[in-house]
Amino acid sequence: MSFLIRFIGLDVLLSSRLQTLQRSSSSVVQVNDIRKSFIKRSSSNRNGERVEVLGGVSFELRPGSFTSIIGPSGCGKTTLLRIIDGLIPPDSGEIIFNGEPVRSPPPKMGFVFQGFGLLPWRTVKKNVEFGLELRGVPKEERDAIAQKYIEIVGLSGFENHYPHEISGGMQQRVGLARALTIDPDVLLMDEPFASVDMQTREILQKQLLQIVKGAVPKTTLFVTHNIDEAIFLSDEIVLLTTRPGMVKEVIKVNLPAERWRYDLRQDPEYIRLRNYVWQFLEREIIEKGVFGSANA
Amino acid sequence: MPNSTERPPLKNGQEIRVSETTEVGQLEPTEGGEREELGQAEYHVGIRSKEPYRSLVDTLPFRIALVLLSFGIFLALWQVLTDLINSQTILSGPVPVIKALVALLAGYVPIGMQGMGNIYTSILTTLEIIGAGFAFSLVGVPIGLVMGRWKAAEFIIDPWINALYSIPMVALIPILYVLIGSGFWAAVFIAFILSVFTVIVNTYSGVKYTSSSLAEVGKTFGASEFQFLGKIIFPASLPDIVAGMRLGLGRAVLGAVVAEALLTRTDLGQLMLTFNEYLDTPDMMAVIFIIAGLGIIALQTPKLLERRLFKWKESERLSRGLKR
Repeated sequence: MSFLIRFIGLDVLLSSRLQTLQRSSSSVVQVNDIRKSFIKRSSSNRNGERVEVLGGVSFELRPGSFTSIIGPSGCGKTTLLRIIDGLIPPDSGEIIFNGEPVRSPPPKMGFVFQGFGLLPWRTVKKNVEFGLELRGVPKEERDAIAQKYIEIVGLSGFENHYPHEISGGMQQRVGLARALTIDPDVLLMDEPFASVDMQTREILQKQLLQIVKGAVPKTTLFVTHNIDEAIFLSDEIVLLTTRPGMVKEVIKVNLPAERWRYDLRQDPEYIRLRNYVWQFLEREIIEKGVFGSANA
Repeated sequence: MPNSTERPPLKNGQEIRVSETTEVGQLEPTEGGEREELGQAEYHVGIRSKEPYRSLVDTLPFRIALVLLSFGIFLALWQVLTDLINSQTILSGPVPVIKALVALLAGYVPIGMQGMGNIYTSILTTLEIIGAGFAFSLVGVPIGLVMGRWKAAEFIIDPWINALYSIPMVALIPILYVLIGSGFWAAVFIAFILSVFTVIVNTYSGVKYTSSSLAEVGKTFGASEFQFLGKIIFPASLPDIVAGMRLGLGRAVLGAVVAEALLTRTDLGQLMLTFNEYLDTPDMMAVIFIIAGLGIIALQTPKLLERRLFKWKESERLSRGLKR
């Protein structure tokens, strides 16, 4: 991959692009005091009870940064991500994206789904092209762009396979390529690797980092409940509390930029962060009694 | 063992793979690679037990034998029943009926059919009624789409569908006779009315139960309402739509024959009754077999089409089945 980039001379171009991304000081996405509650109906309570999922969440995404949201299950991580993308409206608060409030999914946001969200009747290539097709990009151009991203995610040779013919890890790479084709300013990822096995997961994490920090620089917001994943990938980690979800803390990850080159597991900073995040999660889960309550 | 012809190629294969991954980095399709490697290992070591299991029922000669056996039992039972009843006018045996069928199909015109041309004229007219009735019933597809997509349309249309779907259509024949007479188009109308609700209901449920995660994909990528219908809802519910069309075609056959027997008094439906009046039981039963044949063709042809059209779905189901 890296030799390929150097070969085409992309590296000079990329580093300058990364710098411009980082130089512009204003944030790409601002999350301002987002609140959301759902009505939970049950057999014992016909009218339902109000469950507050998000209790005033605020943070922002720096341009070019990789930010993870981590928190105990049921703390509204996925809900938050869907609100940021404009898929569902918040009860109060607002999302500012590139200086404008978000009301419906903005064209310059890419979304990668937990369940991949591939259209089963379309081949890999046709799935990757989907976003471009909706935007009326002419066929030749669409072809070229799709092919480029299929190569970037490493799926060359599988263009004409149907989703059910490839593994979960490969399906999610299709999902990633599809999100990248529309050249988003922000990439939102909702536990994208939750349903693939551990080995594949680690490989996908490295690839993702190589892509969004190298080949195709992107500001990324990543939802996960996996501590190692969050630390390995992120520049910043947003710690979300148990329901109602609130930002407990935003921690910075001071680890080397090209961290796919190192084995971080022995790094003292890595171990410190890991313990820190785990103690936070453990406290949230045990003290606030997540056990026994249904997850949202 | 240096002379072993089986192991070295496997090692080679592995070495090539390793060197590839180190050179190109992590962007190789690892899963595919793993599969390939597995395949090689099986091949070289020569494990045969991994071959997909095929039971005897899956082999073609055995299937044909089963079908023939089924026919044989049917014919035998038929013959026994005929002998028990022992009356040619109530129930004819297999031999005279098959003879009558062959004669009819060869163009023979028995008493009661004079002036109507041979059997093919009748079959053709019946097919026209089925075809026209079914073609009109395809308006059920857009109706079902609209109903599944917009709640308001659902509330307006659904009560009518429920009401009309539950009325036995045959009960409408006297009214239809007064309203639209007893011509060709009246028969087409009956075939249509029997078929259209099946098409509507299947399309509607297909659209209504399109997975919400697919809908979300469309929303994220900013699909317009038109794109949403055309690129997500329609292809996602196409298997249900086609299944509805297949069932609808079967009902159109039923409608056409009922209409001919009770309303228009022509062609296949009428022939059945005429031969009955002439106490020509073998010919009457031969006509029933012809109608059954049309029904079978009408139900089976779309199945082939379905298998072609939904390759992605068929194999999805199959691979899921194998994993379990």
